[in-house]
Amino acid sequence: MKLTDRAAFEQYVAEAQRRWAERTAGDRWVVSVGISECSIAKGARQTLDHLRLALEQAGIQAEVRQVGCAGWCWAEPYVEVQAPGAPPVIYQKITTDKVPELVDAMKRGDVKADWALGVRADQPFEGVPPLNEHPFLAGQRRVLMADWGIIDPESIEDYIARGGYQAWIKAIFDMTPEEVVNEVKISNVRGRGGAGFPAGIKWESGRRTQAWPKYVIANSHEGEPNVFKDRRMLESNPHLVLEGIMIGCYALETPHGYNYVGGEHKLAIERFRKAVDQAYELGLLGDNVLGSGVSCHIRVRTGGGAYICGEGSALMYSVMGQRGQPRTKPPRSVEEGVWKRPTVLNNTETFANIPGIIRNGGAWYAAMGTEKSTGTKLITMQGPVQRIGVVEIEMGMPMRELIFGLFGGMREGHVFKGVQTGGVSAGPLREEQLDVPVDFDSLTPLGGMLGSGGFVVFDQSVCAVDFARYLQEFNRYESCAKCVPCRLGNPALVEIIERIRLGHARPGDLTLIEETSRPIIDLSLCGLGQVAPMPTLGMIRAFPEDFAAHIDEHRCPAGVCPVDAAAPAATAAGD
Amino acid sequence: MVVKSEAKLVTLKINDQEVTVPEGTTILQACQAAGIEVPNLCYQPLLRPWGSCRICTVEILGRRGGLVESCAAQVREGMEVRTHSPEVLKSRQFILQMYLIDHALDCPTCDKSGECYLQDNTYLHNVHLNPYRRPKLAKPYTHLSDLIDYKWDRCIMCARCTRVCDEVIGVTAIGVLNRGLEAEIGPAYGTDLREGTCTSCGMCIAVCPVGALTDRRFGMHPWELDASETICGFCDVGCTLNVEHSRGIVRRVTHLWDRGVNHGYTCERGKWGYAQVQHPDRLESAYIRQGDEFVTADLDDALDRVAEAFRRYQGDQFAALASPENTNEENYLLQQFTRAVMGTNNIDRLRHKGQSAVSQALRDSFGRPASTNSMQEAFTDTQCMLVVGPNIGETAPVGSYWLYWSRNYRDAKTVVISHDHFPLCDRAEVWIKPPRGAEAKVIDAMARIILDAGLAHPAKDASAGFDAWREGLAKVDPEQVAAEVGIDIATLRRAAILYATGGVGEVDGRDPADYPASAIYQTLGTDRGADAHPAAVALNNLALLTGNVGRAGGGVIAFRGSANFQGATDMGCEAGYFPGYQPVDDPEIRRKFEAAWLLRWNDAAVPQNGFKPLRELPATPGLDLDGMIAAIEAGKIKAMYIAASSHEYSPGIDERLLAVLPKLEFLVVEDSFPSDLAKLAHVVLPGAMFLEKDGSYTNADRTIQRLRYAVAPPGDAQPSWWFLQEIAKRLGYNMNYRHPSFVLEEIAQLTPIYRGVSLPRLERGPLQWPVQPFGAEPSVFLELGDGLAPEAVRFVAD
Repeated sequence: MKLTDRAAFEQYVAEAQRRWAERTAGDRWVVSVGISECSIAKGARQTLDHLRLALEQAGIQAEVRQVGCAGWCWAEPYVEVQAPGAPPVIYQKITTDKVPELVDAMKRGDVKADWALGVRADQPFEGVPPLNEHPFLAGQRRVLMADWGIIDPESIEDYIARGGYQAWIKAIFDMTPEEVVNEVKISNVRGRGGAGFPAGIKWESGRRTQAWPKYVIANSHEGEPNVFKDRRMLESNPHLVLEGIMIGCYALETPHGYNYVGGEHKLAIERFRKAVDQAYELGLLGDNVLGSGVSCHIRVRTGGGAYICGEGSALMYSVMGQRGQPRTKPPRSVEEGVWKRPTVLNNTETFANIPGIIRNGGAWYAAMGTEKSTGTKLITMQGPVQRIGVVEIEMGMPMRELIFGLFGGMREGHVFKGVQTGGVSAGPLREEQLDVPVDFDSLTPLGGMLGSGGFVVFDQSVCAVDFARYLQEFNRYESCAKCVPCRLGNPALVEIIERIRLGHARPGDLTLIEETSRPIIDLSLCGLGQVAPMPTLGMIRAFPEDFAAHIDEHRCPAGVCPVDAAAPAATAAGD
Repeated sequence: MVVKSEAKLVTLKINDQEVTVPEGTTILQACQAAGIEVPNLCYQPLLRPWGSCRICTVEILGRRGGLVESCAAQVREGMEVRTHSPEVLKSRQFILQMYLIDHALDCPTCDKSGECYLQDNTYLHNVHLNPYRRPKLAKPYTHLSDLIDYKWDRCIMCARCTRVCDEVIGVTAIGVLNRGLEAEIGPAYGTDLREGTCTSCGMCIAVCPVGALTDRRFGMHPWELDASETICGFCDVGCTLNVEHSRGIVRRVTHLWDRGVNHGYTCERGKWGYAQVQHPDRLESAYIRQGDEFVTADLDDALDRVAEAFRRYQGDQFAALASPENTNEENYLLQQFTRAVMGTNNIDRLRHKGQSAVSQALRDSFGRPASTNSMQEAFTDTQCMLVVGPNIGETAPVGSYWLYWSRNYRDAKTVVISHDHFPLCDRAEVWIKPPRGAEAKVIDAMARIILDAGLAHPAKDASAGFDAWREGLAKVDPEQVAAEVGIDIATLRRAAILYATGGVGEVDGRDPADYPASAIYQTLGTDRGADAHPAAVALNNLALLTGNVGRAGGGVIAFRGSANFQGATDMGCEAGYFPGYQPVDDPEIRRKFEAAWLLRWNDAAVPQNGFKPLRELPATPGLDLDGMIAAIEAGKIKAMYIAASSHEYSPGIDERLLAVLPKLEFLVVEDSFPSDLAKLAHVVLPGAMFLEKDGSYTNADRTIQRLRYAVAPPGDAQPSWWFLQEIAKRLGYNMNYRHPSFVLEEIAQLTPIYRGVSLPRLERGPLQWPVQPFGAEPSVFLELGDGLAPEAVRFVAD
């Protein structure tokens, strides 16, 4: 079905909302299973299959649907059951072996409160506490994640029923491109890829450049370790990102948009592609959308798995089918990007913010978060914390609350040592630094970085030297091989750290690390090279005692490094 | 090359020295302009800044300052730059230390030692201690092909090679593989380069700043070599080569960046063609036929024999064919010899059908058998390039480089009409692949589309024949043509519109004359068997139709294969013309040449066998190549002098000529190899090749360039001008030119389009004819009224 004008779209919205209301009216069985890459790994597909069979056998006429990830990776696979006349209850960790019992309980009318994570209601229901009171969710402000785990990511109807594409319609019918850019500027949404450059200003300079055609690209590459927000975004609500890119295209007055997705995010690619297809089918994408005279075409490009392809200019080369390597600036991408034309590149999460900003206004958005870092931020957490997953918080939440509140603090038997910030581009924080608010600017003075919002908590069993080596090696292997400081400086750093790790350090090695890092930071071509030594420098600054133990005492306090205890005491450098 | 700039000027301070340069200049260029040396490794002229080596780092003072890469950073007004501050030097030392961790440091056995950028900079920056020292990683040599070796441990990963391969050569045969320290240079899938798109141009070796990519035929140290700058003799692009030789043997060819029409770049022939010059099969002595056999002869004896024989054939029983690969001076002397000594206008060039057709087509349309414009305009004005004919990447490789460059750096559009499939076809906006010989049809259909679209605007004062031609075009149906040659009509239309709108690609309602310029690059003349005349004429008409003649960046540039084909034509090696297209049947002009030439006769020479000093030049045009073939067949021409310069890349000889030559009573062939032609001769004279002579060449776009003697010819071999003088002397005609420069001086006096040319002036750089006086703005294209006579320019219905 292709919609041809705005009225037809409104009619479609009404129809979709009616159907959605029917589904949630509470007069029938609705069973939803979260299918995302993390839950698939835990067997959610099997859970879904088993549920279908079991429900059929049990004679329960239920609508079994898939939904996306809801952020609680620790609770996967989860199942949401809406019984007739009852609010939806969410059950955690429903592996296949638990399916028969669950179905059995459903048949009996037992809520099975001990398996439940919470109930989607304001009041407790038969012993199940409200979901929003769960410590994992209580501190969150879900704007981008509002529909995660609620809508079927492969259904455009679900998305539209929940208010989707209203911003797109509003933009193309009721707003000029300047007004769109203006709203984005008022919202002061800063780029979510790590650098934190205000998106509105980037769009404006993209508009100023006089060359056509222009391009809009979403960066969904997300190649660094420890971060998994964008791929969950694309898996759980691809239309939100798509709508954001479309509005970006409108703001730039160009019909050409790309989404560049890392090749390893299979499900994300699949679901985003499907979303694009559905939008075309419905006539929300294409030439002359809904008779508005606006055209928009979105293409999906996938990467080959190189970390560097997340860097703007390298990504553009990759989009053009060339080897992904950053290039020197000027010209900047907004002047000469993909196909040598002005290109606006933003992170997936940035684009996901756009529909909300257009729907509710930039001021609404700017009211969230802190003054300099507005809005909400997706945060992913890994390590030995109670609850691993994706959360969405308002900017400015203290790190301590984040780790010990939302994510539940350390698991039993683990003692907090530090939290690595900024992926592989910054240093860690120690326990005493945890009161720092999580936003773009506060972490930097401490040697940390918000980056794309991926944090790794590590405990006393982790050696700072070993961890530094891991992070540095990542940078060494992922160096694109273009500029010398990064290509050859990183191996040199790894070499020195490795030496320390094995107990063969030479005097002055720590100074040598400093001296090596300086030119890498100063001379590297791209942002990734310029921050490549940061994790090592951060580790040395945060945990000097670990390094001292390796160098002076030939001892690894955490007991993980293969230290050669009999190594000769450090003498003057070999030659 | 003169670049006119209207950019805003910016003044900055470099090391406290004030420098004013156009806006948009990089700091590195500004430093170079100011004579301040900034080391660089990955910077390569003509390629866009890459910024990988970071050794060109300079410091910018002030608040917005810091360390920046000077190759990419642009100048700003009032900027203060330090190129050698302590910070900068420390950074450079760091970079060099990094390189030297794994760099093989096998300098004593490295070809590059002595001219290695890394070596020089290591020395210059006093890097001797390396705190990062560790056992080096090493990998074995990789033989990328039979010509090219790669050694990873020397590679600094500057990617000059892969960039040049991709952006200028256009073949993308090699690339950077892998990431990080594991990165290396190589072809896709590790195949032999010869199996892929590689043209073995050797430019990857040429641009390598270290010894990572090496020439497998080269094994010397640079300091053992002497260098001579000369012009390549293997095609009519006319590349400047730096020929490096020692002990009389060419060891390699290197590159003078930013010099000559090729800006230093060469193709396989330029890079490795010297092997032809020192080929073991080269003729090293004269041969005289005795019965069916050739016997080696003393050069004097052979020349005596030739002179003696020629005495019997003065007049129209004699004919001569000039080699389009000999220098201008030699060709001039041969036509002088033919006209003033042998008393006949039976002179032509040794050419094949394709060359004749294209030359004729150019003469028919423009009045001059020459390209109207210059390849160099691809750097400045051309916005759309129509490339027609056999693979330009093989026939005029360096010419094709500029097409890629222009496409990559100036966004010029490319339309290819070629039966061959070569990389440019895939990068072009439109590639039309007509069956061989159907090019004319396609081009006429394009003309029809342009006419119908209202984009025609022929120059008012130069549109003779337009109406007749347009009537002929009325019966051309583009749709039918498209169907016939098997292409989509939309493709054909797009090609036509792109060309007519100078690459804009759509008719946007502006005055047709306001669209940017489109140039035609055609190689039809290199197809030796084809009758290229209709297609060549159709192209000329197309250029005239769209007002692209007499316009910067427009016109027709025709490559005809042989290195000095244009020069040989200019020099009067044509039956009807003296040098410079001065007709022989004009008494005024004839008198000028008589005055110059006939005084050389030694009046004491004794007439013998009917041979006598001439008192006037023959007044009627002689026979051209076709006429000669018929006349030989009919027994009217009995003796010939053929200057040939065969080698592996020779464009080939008309088969019909080879078939009739045995009928001659006496044939002298001057050649460098025992070719099919030489085998028919009565006397074979061993000719010198281009690396063995002084003189000048005129290339496909009328650029006159200086050829320099690099190595001695083998054995008795001599340049053609020496043979001709010796023969003439024996016949009582004293040429007495001690050196080709004297010949060129005479040419400059007698030939208006070459007026003012001299070897000393060519030392300063190439000149294009019509040569402008000293100090005047050089013109690179033929303008209507200057170089092109409007009355001679016409639409030709073929």
